[in-house]
Amino acid sequence: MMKISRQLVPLTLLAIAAHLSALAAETGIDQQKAVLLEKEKPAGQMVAPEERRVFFGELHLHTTFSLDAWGYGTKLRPDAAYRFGQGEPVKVPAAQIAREHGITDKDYVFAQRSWPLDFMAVTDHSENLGTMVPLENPDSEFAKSELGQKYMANPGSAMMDKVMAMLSGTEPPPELHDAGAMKEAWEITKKAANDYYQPGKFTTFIAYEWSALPKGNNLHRNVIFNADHAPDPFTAYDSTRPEDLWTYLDSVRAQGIDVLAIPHNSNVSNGLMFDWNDSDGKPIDEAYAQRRAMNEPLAEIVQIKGQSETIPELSPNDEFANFEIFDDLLPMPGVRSKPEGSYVRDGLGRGVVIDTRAGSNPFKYGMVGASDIHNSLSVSDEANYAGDQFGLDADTMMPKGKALKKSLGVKNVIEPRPGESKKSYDARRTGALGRGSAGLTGVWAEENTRDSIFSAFKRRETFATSGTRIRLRMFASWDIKPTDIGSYDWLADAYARGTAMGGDLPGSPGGANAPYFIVEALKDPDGANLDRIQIIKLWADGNEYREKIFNVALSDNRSPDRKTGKVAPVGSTVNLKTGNYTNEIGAPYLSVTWQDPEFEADSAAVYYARVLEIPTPRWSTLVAVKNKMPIPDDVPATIQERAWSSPIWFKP
Amino acid sequence: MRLVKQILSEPLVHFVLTAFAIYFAVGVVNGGHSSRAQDHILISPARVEQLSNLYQQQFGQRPDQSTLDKLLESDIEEEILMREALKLNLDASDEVVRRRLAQKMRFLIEDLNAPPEPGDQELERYLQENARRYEVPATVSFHHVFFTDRGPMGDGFQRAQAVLDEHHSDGQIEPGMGDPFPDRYHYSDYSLEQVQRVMGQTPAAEELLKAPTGHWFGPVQSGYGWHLFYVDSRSVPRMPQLADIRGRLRIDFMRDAEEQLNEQALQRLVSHYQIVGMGEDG
Repeated sequence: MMKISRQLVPLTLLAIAAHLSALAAETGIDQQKAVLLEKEKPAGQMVAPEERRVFFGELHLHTTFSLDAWGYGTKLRPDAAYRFGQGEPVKVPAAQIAREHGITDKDYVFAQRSWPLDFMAVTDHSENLGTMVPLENPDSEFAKSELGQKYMANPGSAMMDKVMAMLSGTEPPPELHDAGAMKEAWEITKKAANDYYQPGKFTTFIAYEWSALPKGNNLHRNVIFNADHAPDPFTAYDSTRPEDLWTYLDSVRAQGIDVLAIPHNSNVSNGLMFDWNDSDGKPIDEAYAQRRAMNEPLAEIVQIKGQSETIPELSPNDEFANFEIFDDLLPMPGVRSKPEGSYVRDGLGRGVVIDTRAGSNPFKYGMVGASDIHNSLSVSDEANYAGDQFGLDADTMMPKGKALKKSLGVKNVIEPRPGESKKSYDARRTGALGRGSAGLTGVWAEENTRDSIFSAFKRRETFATSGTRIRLRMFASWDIKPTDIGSYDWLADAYARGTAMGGDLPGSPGGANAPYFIVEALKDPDGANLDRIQIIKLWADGNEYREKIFNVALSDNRSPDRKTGKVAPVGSTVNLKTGNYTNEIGAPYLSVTWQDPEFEADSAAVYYARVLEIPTPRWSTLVAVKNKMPIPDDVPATIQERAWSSPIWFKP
Repeated sequence: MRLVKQILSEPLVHFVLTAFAIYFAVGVVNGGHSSRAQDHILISPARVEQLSNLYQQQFGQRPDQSTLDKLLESDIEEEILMREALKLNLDASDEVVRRRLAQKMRFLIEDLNAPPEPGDQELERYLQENARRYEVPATVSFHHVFFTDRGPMGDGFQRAQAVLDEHHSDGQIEPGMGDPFPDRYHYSDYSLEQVQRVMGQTPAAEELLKAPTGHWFGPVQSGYGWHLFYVDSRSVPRMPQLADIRGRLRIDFMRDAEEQLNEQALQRLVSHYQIVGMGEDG
């Protein structure tokens, strides 16, 4: 059977018309074939699961091929992005550093990442991909046209034209749709991913971003391919409905290319990302739930435009929810995104409710973190960021002059618009300052290859961090005794008898009345100690869900108050004059075996772990100290960096 | 150097150099204030067509005759004003125009310089010239036992030392004698960079790469706590075979060659100029 299917698939492929509409009808059959294909080649089958290693990577980065990035001044292409990601020095041209960092006295600078990533995907916007590139050639028709002249004189205006067209439902100028330019950029993108893929050392993925923004509400998804080739991208001009994106993804899988989509910035989706309803306003049913869970196993929970876990308004009992909040709708600074339905925790809760009601869970998301940086230079360390859309080398690219003041939100650096409200002005003034430094994705995989890492994505054996290299893993089981984690080969047991994060805990084998959760977290080897491990539980309660946070492992011999369950803060060692901290508090390693004391066998539930570091200086504090500027008071001076595990689900 | 010679013998390069020579000769003649009998403005059918197209792009329809006349009139005025501006050297004093012209020129010289595909010999030479970049680094294979710092004073060092004292450097020391380490207890063929990614950029990493094989040593501090280490074996740095890295080498070679050719093209222009520093009395 297997052999036949392998031969048949390419033939079927030839028969498939290029148009998505034609493919939609065949989806059911093609999906089955895709599953068969997958089973023929399980990645890393020879390696025992306890041998899985952690790999850190970036799954969201823009280069000059993105229309908005070009508008900011970005010149570097995907090849430079991959070179930088794997730790090589990259030459950043004058035009880019002048516009993005206000450095005007140099022809170029060399930038180097402080440590190499293990894996990476360049995800340029598929809409208008690379269509500004012809302007680099002064003799191109576009460069000679009035429109081209306008864009060169005012590079940001191209993005304005695009957004205005998108919001008003009209077509942007035809030059922004130049099919030849888009084709060329996509070929260069794919070639760069293949050129810099070094199996075992540095994994790249061909990828792009589908940037649907209906009415200014963010529904963006990154599309990641597991192959050395890929069909032309799907764009928000094709459709802004996620259901149509999944039809495209199904068609890609039918071509024998595995692919998935990762939603991001649900925090600015205005409640649409984890809505109870589908795009037509109908309650989510089983078929929708299954399609979504299959196409979207992961959600990006943190990036420079804030975290999407939760906010205090949705989680009033979460004392750590007030972290890197960014919730103004993207095209409308000062206009707030509706919180309900916009955060991953809320989505996970809604998911178990829908599962109970409709028989399947649409929001079965594992966690990833990324940058969404727009200047090709993916960084994640707090010290290598100075706000806005840009990564930097702190030694060579620290913003200067007005750019520096802008990144710290200094008043009256950007001009107020005539008649502009204070709220709108402040939103624009702190636009760069309000961004957090980038996140990272951690995966547990057998080896550093496309197949192995992509398989980890699909089984959601991933975690997200706010940028530091915390290592985090979680298992659930009915029969792991609390003593087992202390033994040195407990991992083989945990995999054999338990459920790794990202998975489903099967029903109780009888006897056991509540599942155990095993969590371990290790600090960033070059970073701060850990404050605590928490387990966040969400469970279905009729048409709603409830949430509760358990402090399950604490540093410094602290224990929760018997009455309130509250835990004393870990304290702080941050010196705001020097921007330094010490690891005199906290712990390098925390682990715990925890049994849910409130487990109810008849309600669906989902659990994930969150690890907090001790307080460290926020990037804005580091930039201010380094440049002898006042520490901005619009944002906290210190933060508690953190990691989020993928969840484990239980269904009665 | 052979590459440079090869390039200089290319007919295309001769053509480009000649083009530059003419370009500059014309520049000198036009730039001077030699009187010209009469300035002509040539209106070609192509220019008329171009103006019509621009108008259509903007307003969605072809211009009628009177509109076209107006377009031509303002186009001619613009041309005249531009020529007069050039005579007054206004282009040189306008930062935007200056930068734009420089950008055009740079594009022009860079566009003409596509480097030829390298053969194995060139790649081999490139590999030798950039040995440090492609060297396969020294590696180490090692066991370790981990001791975390417990309590406010931290007891990791003492506990590690106690285990080493009890079993000696040639004894049987097992991971179970320390604390659980949430990664491996044995690492094979790790480079310094890989060790640093596990242990942090701490003395532990560098000590491992230098330590003698075949006995336990420590305690050494990592980013997490204290370790006893045992090095099984190590490898010295070596050069990779061309066949193993040909693809990557070719990408790097082409990128470098392109940059080099662009730089040479620029330097050829630079060589036409004498840079004179102006002193206080100058």
